[in-house]
Amino acid sequence: MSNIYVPFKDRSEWNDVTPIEQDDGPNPVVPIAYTDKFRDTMNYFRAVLKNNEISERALALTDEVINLNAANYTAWYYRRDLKEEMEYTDAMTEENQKNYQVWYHRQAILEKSRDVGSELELVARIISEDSKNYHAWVHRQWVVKEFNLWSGELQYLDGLIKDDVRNNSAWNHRFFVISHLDPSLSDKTRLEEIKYAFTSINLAPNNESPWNYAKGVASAKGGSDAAYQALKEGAEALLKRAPVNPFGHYVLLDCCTRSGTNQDLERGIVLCDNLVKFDGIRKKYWEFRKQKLSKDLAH
Amino acid sequence: MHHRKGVDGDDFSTDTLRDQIKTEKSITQYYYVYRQKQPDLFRSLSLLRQQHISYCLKGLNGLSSSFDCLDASRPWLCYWILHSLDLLGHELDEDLKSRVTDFLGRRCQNENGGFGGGPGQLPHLAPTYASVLSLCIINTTDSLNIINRDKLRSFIISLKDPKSKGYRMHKDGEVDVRGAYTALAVASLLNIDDEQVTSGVDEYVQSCQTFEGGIGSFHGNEAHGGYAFCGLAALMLCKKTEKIDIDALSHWAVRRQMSYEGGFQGRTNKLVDACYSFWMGSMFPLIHACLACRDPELINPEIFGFLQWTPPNHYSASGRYDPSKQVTFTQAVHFEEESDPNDDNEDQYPELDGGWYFDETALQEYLLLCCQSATGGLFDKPGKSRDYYHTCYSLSGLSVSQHQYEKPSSVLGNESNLLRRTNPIINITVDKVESTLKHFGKSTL
Repeated sequence: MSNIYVPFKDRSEWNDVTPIEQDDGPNPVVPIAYTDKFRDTMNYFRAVLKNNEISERALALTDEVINLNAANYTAWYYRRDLKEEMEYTDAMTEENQKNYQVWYHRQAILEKSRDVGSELELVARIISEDSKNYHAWVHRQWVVKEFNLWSGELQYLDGLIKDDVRNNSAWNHRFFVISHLDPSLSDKTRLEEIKYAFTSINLAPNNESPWNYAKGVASAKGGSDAAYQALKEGAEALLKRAPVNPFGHYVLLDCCTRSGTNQDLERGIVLCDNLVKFDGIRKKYWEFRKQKLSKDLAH
Repeated sequence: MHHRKGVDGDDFSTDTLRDQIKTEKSITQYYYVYRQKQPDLFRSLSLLRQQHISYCLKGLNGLSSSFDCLDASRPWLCYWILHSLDLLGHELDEDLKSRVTDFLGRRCQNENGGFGGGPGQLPHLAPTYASVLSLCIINTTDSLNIINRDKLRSFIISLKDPKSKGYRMHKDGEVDVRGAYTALAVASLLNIDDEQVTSGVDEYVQSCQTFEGGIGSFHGNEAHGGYAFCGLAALMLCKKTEKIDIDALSHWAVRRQMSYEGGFQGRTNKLVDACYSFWMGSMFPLIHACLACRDPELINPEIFGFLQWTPPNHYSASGRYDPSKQVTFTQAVHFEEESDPNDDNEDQYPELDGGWYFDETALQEYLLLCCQSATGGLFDKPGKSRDYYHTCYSLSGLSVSQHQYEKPSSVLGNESNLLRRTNPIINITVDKVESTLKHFGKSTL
C-alpha cells in the first residue's frame, strides 16, 4: 500500500461502486470524529459487504480497513471467506499483539490449511518481546494441542523459567504440558514436578508461581497423599529458614486442612493466626479460614 | 491495620521483579504524604465526582479520531460511560435517553438478533452485552421494549459450541468464557435464560478452572481476573455454583490484592491495574454467596437477597435482604487504638469496617489517591492515561468495596464519596436490575 492516501473516488478500479455512509441516525451518542481516510474506507467497505463482493479488490480493501482498526471483527470475518493467507496475518500479528481478532484469525486459517509451518517460532518471537502476552500463550496451547507438537515444549519452558522464574504464564504452560504427557498424574510425575518447583522456590522463596505450581500438582485430580507429603516437607524445610514466608504458610495450611486430624486442625489455626499478623491485607480471609477450622475441630 | 509491604525480591532480580519495584516506586510518592499526615488527610480524600461526570458526558456527545480504533466497540463506550454516570448519581435527560435508545436499538441491533459493534457490523456477544446493559441503564419502556428478545435468544443459541459447551463470541468466532458470561447475563436480565441457553455452561466453566484455583479463558489457559469473574458469574447465573472448587478459587482471589499498592493484579506476578478493582473486587460478594450455599452457618445467607439472586436449591426464604439496613455511616471508619510495635513512624491508620474477604480500605486508597485524573476519569496506574474502560471498572470496584450487607457502608474519605450500589453479577446499579427484571416478569437473577 502506498504511503500517500488516494481517496476511493479517485481510484479508477472503484468507479462502479457507490459508497455507503454509516447510518448513525440523526443524533447519535458516542459519535467518533473519524479521519477522512477512515470514513472513506469504511464507506466503500460497507458497499462491498452489502454486495457481498468476493474479489481481489475486496481483499485489498479489507487490508486497508484492518490497518485502520485491527479490532474490526466484521472485516476479519469477511476475509476468512475471501482467501487463505498466512503471510498477511504474520505481519498483522506482529503489529497487533493484543488483539483478539488477529489471533483467532490465525487459528481459523491454520484449521483450514493444516499447514502449521513455523507457527511456534512466530509465537516464541512474540513471547520473547512480551513474556506474559495472554493471547500468544492461548494460541501456543492451541497450536501445540491441535498439531501435536508437545516434544519441544518442556525444553522451551526451561529456558523461559530460567530467564524469569516469576513468569507465571510459563509455569501455567508447564502444567498444561505435564498434564498432557501424564494425564493421570502418577505419583512419580507429581514428585518430580514438586521437586522442580522447590528448586525454584529455593532460589526465590517469595515467588508465588512455583508455590502455586507445586500445590496444583499435588491437588489436581483428587490429589495424592504422597505428593501432599512432599509438599508439606518442602514447606516445613523452607519455613525453618524463612519463618514468616507466607507461601509456606499457605501450603502448610492446605495440607493441614486436607488431613483433617485434630492435631492438624489445631496447627492450621496457629498458621491462620500467624497469617493474620504478617499477611495483613488478607486478614479477614485468614480469620474466616480459622473460623472454619475451629468449626471442623468442634465436630 | 496492616503495614504496606513491598515485594520481597529475595535478592533475585528478574524482569518481573524490576517491573514490580518500578510500579511500587511510582506509587510511593502518592502514598507518602498521605501516610505521614494520617489521620488528618484521609478524611478529606475525595472522589472527583463533578470532574468524572464532565469527562463522561463529553465522551457521550463526541469522541476524537483517536477513537477510530474503538469503532467496533461503540456499545462498549456507551456502557462504560452510562454506567459510570449512573454510579456517580448523574441523571440523564430525556433527549439523551432517546438518543441512546435510537443508536443502540435501531442502528446497532441486528435484524436477526444481537447487536454489532457499530451500525451495520456483524452481531457479536460483547457489544450485545454492552448494548443490553446500556438499554437497561436507560430503563425507559422504549429502551427495554426495543430489544428483540426472541431474536436475541435465537442469536445466543446459534453461538453455542457443542464441542466445548461454551459460547462463541460471534458466528465462526472464538470460544472463551466471556461468551458464556455475556450470553447468560443478558439472558437472565431479559428472562430468556431457559434450559437451552444455560445447559452445559457449567461443564464448560468447570473445565476452565486452573491448578492455581482461578479461571482462564479456555481449558489450560492461565487463570486471569477478567475470565475468573466471567466464569464465576456465569455459574451463578446458571445456578451451578457447586461446580467450582470454591476454596481454591477463594484462595487464588484473595492473593490477587497487592500488599503494597492496595489495588488488584489480574494474574499471579503481574502488575496492579485499577480495572481489576471490579473484575477481582466483585468476585468477593459472589464468593460470599457460594460459601453461604455451602456453609450457611458461617456465612449469612442474606447475601443472596443483596445480590438479587436466587441460589440453587431452596435458600431463598432465608436470603431476604432489607436494603434500608444499609444507609448509615456510623462507625464506618475507626482508628486502631493499639499501635504496632514494628512500626516507627505511623501509629494510626484508618480502617474501614467492611465484610468482604479483601481489604476495602487499601483498595479505596489506591483508587482515590493513585488513579484519579485531576480533570476527570480514572486510569490503570500512575503514568497511564485515563480512559472510559478504566473509569467504568474503577468506579464499579469502588462501589463494590463501599457497599456491605451486614454492616454500614464502608466509605473511605469524605462521606460524599459514596457511589450508587452496583449489582456485582451484572454490573449495573441494583435499581436498574430490579426494574429490568420486573419489566420482563422476573424478581431475581
